[in-house]
Amino acid sequence: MKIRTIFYSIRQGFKNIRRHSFFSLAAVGTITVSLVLFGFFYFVTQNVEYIIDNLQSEIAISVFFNEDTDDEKISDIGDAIKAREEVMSVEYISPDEALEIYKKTYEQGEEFSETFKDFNPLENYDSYTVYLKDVSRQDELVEYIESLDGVRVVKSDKTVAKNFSLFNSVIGYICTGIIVLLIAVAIFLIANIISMGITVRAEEIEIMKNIGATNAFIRAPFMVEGFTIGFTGAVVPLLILYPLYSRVAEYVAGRYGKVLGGKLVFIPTHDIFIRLIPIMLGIGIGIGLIGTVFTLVRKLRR
Amino acid sequence: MSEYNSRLRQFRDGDKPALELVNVSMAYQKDMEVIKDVSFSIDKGEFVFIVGHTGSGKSTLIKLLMRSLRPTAGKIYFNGQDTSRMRGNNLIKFRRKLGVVFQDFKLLKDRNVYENVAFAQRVIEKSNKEIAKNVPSVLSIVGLSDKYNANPKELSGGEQQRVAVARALVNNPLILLADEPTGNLDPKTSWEIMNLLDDINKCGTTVIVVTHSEDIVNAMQKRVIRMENGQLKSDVRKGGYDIED
Repeated sequence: MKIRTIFYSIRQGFKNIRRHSFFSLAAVGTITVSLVLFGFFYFVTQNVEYIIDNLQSEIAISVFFNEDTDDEKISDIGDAIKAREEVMSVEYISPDEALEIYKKTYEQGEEFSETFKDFNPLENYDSYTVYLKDVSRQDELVEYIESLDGVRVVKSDKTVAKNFSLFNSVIGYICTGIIVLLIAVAIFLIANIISMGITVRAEEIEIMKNIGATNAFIRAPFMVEGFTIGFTGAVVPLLILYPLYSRVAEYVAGRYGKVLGGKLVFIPTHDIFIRLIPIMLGIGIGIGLIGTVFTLVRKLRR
Repeated sequence: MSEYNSRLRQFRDGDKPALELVNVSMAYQKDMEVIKDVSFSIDKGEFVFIVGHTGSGKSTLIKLLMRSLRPTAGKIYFNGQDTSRMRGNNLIKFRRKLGVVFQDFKLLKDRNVYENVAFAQRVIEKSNKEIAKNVPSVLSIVGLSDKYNANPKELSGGEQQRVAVARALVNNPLILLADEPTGNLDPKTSWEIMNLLDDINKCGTTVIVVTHSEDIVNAMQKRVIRMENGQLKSDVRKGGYDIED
């Protein structure tokens, strides 16, 4: 296709939009609503994941050893745990460190240390604290560590881990379902608008075919129309969501910043939008083009 | 026009007919043939009328000739090439060698006369410079130079048909197909259009006209192909509307 034909097609595409301005606006409106909702769900899933990641770093399992396990064996167990892919880090807690932690954690800690001034009651309680990359794999890891020779007991909080992964999965499934539905509705609407454009321009298309227009020449203005509607339908929600997210994130940080040990913090606006902008543009333009191509293939067979 | 003249000369120099139908049949539905085993050929540079009553298959024949339809049986050759086998670029190239005029003009109502004619050139991706040269030239041939800025709605039926002829001519067709071009026009205007088509034919373009107009067919004494119930009833080199075998 020649450059001048590309410009001609672009002009014709914009003329089509202007001719059916009401329906074009309806299509842009539908994509906008769909993508605003998509944006909300995206924020929810991303931030829940972000907060869970923050909280996960606090969830750990403790590994205690049999009394007869020597230092070399303990070191081997540590290496075996570190080698697991779901493990983020392993921290060795000596009996003395354990006593110090106890003192700091409990009110009666000072009294306790006075009583046991000359001897450490946690003498055989050296342990590993294991942090996970993914708490959903905690059960698997616990089972593995329990099977290691020299391990006496593994302590973990199964409820917290299970609830976090379950919550994240449920949110993910609901959001995917709603987003797929919204995208399907938007594609259907675009397809109808392009179909209407083809009907209105049926005579012009027939003339073009009779004169010997190429398929690309006939289809290009409709592609421009679909692209423009999709692009606009993606840009508008971004303009709505950016200030909105920024204010909500600021409000939550100010009001609930100390809840959950300071872990209830949203992803910074810039960081989340850097990822969201290409996704939204891709979906918007994709909806526009898929709807258009679908209709053109169906209606403009030679 | 010199490029067109040399293309036309090259086309006319070949020994194959401009169009040739060999045992062509066409059915829109199974066992409902609207064209039945029709064979004839049209030489380069000929002026041919296709006549017949409503439902005789004339318009279907024109659609077959311009390859809007494909025959259900038989072959149609353009300059020796089987049009029913044409696909993609070959079909596009074939259609660019045709000019088509319809009874209802088929003008674009949202564009002025100039843009309606220029549209045909834009479709085949001519440059603005070529369009600016060719469109006024063809508008002067059809006598509408002073109406280039008018909207089709502001023109009479005859003027609208002249615009349609100009649009069909602007791409320098080797064959001009006209489907009832005077069907919506009064007798005087019909004659103007027919004289215009005759002039175009005299310049070397093959012209095929489907018509109901007895007076014109009788007066012009051109080749007449008569269709009846989808069959070729008669084919007379120089004849009138009612001439039988």
